[in-house]
Amino acid sequence: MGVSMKSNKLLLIIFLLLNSFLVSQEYTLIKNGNLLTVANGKMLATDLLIKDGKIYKIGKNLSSPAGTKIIDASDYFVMPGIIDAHSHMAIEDGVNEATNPITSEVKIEDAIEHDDISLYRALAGGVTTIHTMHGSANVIGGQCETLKLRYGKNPAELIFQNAPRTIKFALGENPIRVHGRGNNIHPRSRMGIEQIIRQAFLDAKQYKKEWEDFKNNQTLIQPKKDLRLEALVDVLDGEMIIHCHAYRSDEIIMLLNVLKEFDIKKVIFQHVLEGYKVAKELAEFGAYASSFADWWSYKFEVYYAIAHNPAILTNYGVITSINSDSPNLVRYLNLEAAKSMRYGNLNEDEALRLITINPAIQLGIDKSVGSLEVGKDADIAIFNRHPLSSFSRCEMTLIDGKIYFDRKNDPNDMRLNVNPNLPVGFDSFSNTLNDFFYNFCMDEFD
Amino acid sequence: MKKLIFLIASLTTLIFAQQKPIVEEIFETVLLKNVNIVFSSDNILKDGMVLIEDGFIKEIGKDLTLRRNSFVVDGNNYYLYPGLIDATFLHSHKIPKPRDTVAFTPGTAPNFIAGIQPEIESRLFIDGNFKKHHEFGFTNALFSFDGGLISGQPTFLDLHSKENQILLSHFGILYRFKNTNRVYPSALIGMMAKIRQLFYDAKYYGERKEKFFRDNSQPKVEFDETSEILLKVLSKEIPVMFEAQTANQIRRALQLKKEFNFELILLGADEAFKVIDEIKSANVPLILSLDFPQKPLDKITTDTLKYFSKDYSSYFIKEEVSHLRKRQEEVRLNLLSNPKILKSNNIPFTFGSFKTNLDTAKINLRLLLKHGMSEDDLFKALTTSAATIFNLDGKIGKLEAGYFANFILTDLPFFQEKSKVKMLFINGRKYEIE
Repeated sequence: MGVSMKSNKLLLIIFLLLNSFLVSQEYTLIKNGNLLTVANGKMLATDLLIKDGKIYKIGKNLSSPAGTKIIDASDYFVMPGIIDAHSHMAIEDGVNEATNPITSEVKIEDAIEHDDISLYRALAGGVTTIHTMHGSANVIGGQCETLKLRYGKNPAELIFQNAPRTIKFALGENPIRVHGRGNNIHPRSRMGIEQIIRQAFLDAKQYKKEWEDFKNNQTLIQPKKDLRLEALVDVLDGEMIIHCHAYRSDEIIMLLNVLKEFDIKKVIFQHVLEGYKVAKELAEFGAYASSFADWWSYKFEVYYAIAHNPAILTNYGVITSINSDSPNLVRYLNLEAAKSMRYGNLNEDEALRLITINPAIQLGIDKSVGSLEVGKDADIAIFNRHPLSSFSRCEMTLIDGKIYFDRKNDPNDMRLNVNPNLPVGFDSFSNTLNDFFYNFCMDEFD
Repeated sequence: MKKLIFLIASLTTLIFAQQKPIVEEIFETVLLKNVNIVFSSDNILKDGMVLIEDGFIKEIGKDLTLRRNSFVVDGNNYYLYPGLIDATFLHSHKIPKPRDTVAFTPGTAPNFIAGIQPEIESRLFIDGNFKKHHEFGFTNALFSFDGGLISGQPTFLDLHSKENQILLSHFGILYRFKNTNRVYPSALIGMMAKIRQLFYDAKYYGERKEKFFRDNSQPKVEFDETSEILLKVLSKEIPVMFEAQTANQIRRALQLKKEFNFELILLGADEAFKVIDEIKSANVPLILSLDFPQKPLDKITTDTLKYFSKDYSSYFIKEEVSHLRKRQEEVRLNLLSNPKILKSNNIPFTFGSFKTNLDTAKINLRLLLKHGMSEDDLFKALTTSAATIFNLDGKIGKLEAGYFANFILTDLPFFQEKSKVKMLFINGRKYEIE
């Protein structure tokens, strides 16, 4: 009798444990949507089941356990959350440390402004992940950060876990203007930029050797720890991926040659507006490209930019993405991608890849985001029409299966941070003005 | 011309007259009588007496016997409180630049241009002009240079004239996220990196120096003032005082503390209530500011419009404006309830006068009475809590025998609107405010 009592109790405990385990699992079912999976083409009127923030099942008429949150997506289009490979949102107090041509030691991670309202606006455009970068004032800028737009969470909770480390490089007019013309130091020309990069890598190699010699007891005096050179050693070792701001074809080739010299295998060119001229070389190197859809002539070095650029690069086999570089443009990256169908005849799937899986590959996060596949993070954007149509509009955005934007439940004021000291009215205006003037690549210059 | 001379003469007398309203008198033994001694709001000794000997409180009570040679001061039935402690008092001062400055680029600027000056000793810049502090009721203050990223070493003072006033000559180092000139580090990202690099440099310097003194074969290490001082921080000999107002700034200061394991005191901490758990687990005391935002304006005023080149008033929607005001008011109330939340979480805090106009600080202090703080709470924060942060418990902050004779006398109870500080005793020296 006593034994059975005990086993009964044990059963009860197991039952309770199981029960609590089941309760802790969160299910969400996106019902009957037109899935644009990116990985496996279009799947009309299909269900997508989310379990604990991951995509659990994709199929028709999926059953789901009791308590599942149901989102009716009939007639709607369900796509993977949009990824912006070039952004400067959510950075506090300056995008550039524009005082030295090399600042590889500075980290955007240290200055995340989690309450930047632009993040919510980006969510309203179906964006779930951004790569927020140091500006382009320096030849070698700072270390960038990949963020999931978990608006309302703490800065640390925005960071994309296990995303590879990245660093910003910049070629061309910007570093020349800031340092050459502005401060009367190197670099004063494109040639100077090349030498600054080469010298930085040589210094890093020397630094690495000094430490190796010390560890192998070949020198007695310990070298001094230098965060700047340490970061550059990580670049040489392939632990930090270069995202290089570049426009002209000649400087793109220049960097490819320098990287070959130092046996660096991975690079993503940002903007790369003359990429179409050197698409073959980029493809041969295995370099990636992240471009604008149709921006040109806003400064001298972009006069030869064309709207066919992303399409041509794609056709040459270069993994290409379309980015915003702007807290405004980020809200309609889907339409930016659609432009590549008009200019360059990319098909629907290719166009969608430009803002989903391709930027994910470039940021090294394609194992967890970028397409609708079982096992991936449930980062999802739901549009009322096909997202590549100019009549489409984002209805809902989910990250890790949680709703972060819902057009039907979209309060008028989503600011997390309000300045109590500014005169009424000016506060809300200033947000917009700030975004407009200061959140660009060339923060604080010209 | 005569008129001009007369004008200058009268102006100078006016200025001098304003500079010397406080009369200082020094006695060895003082018997202060006829005062209401306020130990706490419900423990007041009416018609009490205080015996002061050699700058310390000897005895407090009723009907104390007059000793030989003691000087009797009539307290005029004033209210007697312990002297308040201003936990951070910023002074700006022109620091002379070193003569042999070499040419530099923004990326290689010398430390004194970049606002990195841990070597600055605030004690060298004391000017003895503490009139406003006396009028507020402060008898002690932490006096600090208002500099850049690393502003130097503050000094803890008895607020009286020049001699014998320093209690702690080098209390900690003041850090702030502030760039002085457009040189490295100029942005927040640069400042964080520079702070780290400086600590690593100091560590390296310390190790090299130690090896050099132990082993003759090691090369000589050049003296580095910055590293010398930062080594004291790394060995927890002196704390870092980090000015951090917003929740994110507090997070950054705490992150640096985690990385380099130093003693930390947060300065400002307006939004501490948003990061209570982090502050609690890091076990960090706070020095709050007495500066709070004003009530949001009722209407769109010309103040708003001056920011625009055109009159945009017709663009403002009434409902939207009232909503915006509501949000601002919410934030203001949150900031005002910061001390209350800290108190209920048992996080030690005090107040400092930095970035505050002392003329209006008393109004703000009274405002806190409406937001969850009692008179005793505020006095505790301004006296004993501050003393604990500066390791001066048992010396200042209380009305007890054996403590420094630092106290203030007011004509009306301290928190009453028209209450004025009439007399101060600092280290037993009497100051009368005329």
